[in-house]
Amino acid sequence: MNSWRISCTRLREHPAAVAVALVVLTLALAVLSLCMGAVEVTSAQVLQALFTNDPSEVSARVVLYSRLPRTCGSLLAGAALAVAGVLIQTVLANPLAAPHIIGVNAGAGLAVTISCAIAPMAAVRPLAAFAGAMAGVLLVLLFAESTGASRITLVLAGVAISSIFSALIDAVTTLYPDALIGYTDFRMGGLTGVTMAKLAPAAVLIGISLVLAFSLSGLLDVLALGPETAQSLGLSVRPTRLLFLTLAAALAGSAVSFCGLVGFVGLLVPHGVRSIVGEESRPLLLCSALGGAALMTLCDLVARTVAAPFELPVGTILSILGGPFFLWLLVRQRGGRTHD
Amino acid sequence: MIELQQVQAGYHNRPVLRGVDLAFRPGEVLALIGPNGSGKSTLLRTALGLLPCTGGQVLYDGVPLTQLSPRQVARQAAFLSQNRTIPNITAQRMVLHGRFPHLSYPRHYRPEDKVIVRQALEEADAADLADRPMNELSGGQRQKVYLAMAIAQQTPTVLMDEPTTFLDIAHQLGVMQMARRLAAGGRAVVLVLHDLPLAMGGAHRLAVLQDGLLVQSGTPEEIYESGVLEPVFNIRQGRTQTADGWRYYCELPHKEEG
Repeated sequence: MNSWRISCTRLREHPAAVAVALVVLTLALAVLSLCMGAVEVTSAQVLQALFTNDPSEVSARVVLYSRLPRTCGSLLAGAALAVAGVLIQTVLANPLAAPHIIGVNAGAGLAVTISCAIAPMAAVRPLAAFAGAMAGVLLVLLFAESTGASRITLVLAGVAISSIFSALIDAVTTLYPDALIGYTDFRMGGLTGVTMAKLAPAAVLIGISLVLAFSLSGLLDVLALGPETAQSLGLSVRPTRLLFLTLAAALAGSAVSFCGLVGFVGLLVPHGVRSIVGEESRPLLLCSALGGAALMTLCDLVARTVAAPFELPVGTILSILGGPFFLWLLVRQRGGRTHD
Repeated sequence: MIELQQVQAGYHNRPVLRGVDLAFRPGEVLALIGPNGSGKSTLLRTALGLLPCTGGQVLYDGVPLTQLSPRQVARQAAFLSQNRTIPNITAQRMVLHGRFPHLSYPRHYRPEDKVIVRQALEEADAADLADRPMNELSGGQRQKVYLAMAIAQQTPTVLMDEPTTFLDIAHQLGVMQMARRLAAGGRAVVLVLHDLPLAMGGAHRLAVLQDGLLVQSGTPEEIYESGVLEPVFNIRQGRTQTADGWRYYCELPHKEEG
């Protein structure tokens, strides 16, 4: 345990080295994701397909129409959900908060469900998901500010908000059964059937939000000192909180719009990265984005290959990993050993 | 200079401060004392604009606080809050945040900020803690780092809310010594304190609060001689002459036997 702590302290002094290692890991996983699956494709065939863009070969069609969108989707969703987790945890000063725990993902899911039932256009989905995620975020912020809720209470409020959204999703699914065929995949979370057309609008929103989050990381650092200290340093706390929660809603909502209700990335990754690079926002955001992309790609790879020829939803793999981790966090929280 | 004129403030329609007049004078350590719930922390928060006035006004060099942006306020007054989140960052990084009010967009810290931070760490006797993570420091060490952050903010006024709570006696005296040093450099230093002998021995002036009212303010000698502390705190006060001046103490009032 001590040697782990010493290693982490040393790594904290070299966040660039951690980021480079994560870039290499993410790229390696992305290459594996393009090569592995029901049809084996060599790396040379992958390169040929990517550079020639010629779909006449079977391997090229597999790469261009199935694996490339899927790999891009897992990279984008992982990065977006992990950064959304960092933002939400910092703004609410609550290490237990994550997009899927406080109802942000469920809010986005409800909005996507309604948009699929009423206006099933791919371009509308990310905007609808953003609006739904924002509703979830605002409800939690309102609850936290009006009651001064403790960390555990806030999580329980999030569970209640998620349940309300889930019940409404069930109601919409029952009322529009034909429009929502295949919706089970969305609820379990997965990247089956992701296409570049579905990804494009979400990718734009995620890209803009990530750039804004990185460029405003100095404000996030000051916000992390607590509201009173932050305001006494000249930060307008409430508008800054709203700004970061809006970015978190855009990130989580965009990811949910194409990969469904995937959980735990926004909890697992920020905690893991924080223990290695510390809480300085710039390296934390960068390494969380890379770590999220790597984790999501790895889980998707496992989901595709572990029970081949069957495919598990990626959300299932993440829940198996994330559930016990969340329980451990809760126990640690109750024991009062988490930093405060 | 910060001045409070007939200031009223409170929480959720519950008034706490009721018409307080007080000035934070440069070159002076002012200790705010009073029983729990008397409005000491509320006074500091109102003076900083963290809590709005429901009556009266706060002036910064004659300008009403309501006309100043949070950044302008942060260039005038540094604040050591009682409610702190301890982030997992190094002490040096923590102190660097004291420079935040002086940065313009894109808020990148400049080389001169790093020089000021190094000087602030040395002034607060925390230079050896610079590379240590905040969450691995003791309470006394953290207090030094927070003081360094306030020094790095380079404001004419420094407000501290219970800076000696949870500290051992050596660190408590260290905080008072630092407050006197800051005041000697021309700053106005205001501390909320619960330890009466510490406040009487270390502050230039005391302001005694009770039920949101400013009962009395003055030098330690004036406060002692007025006898105001005995009814306010329900204690018996005393003092002894030493080579360095008066040493104050307090004890529970004697109960009559039988």
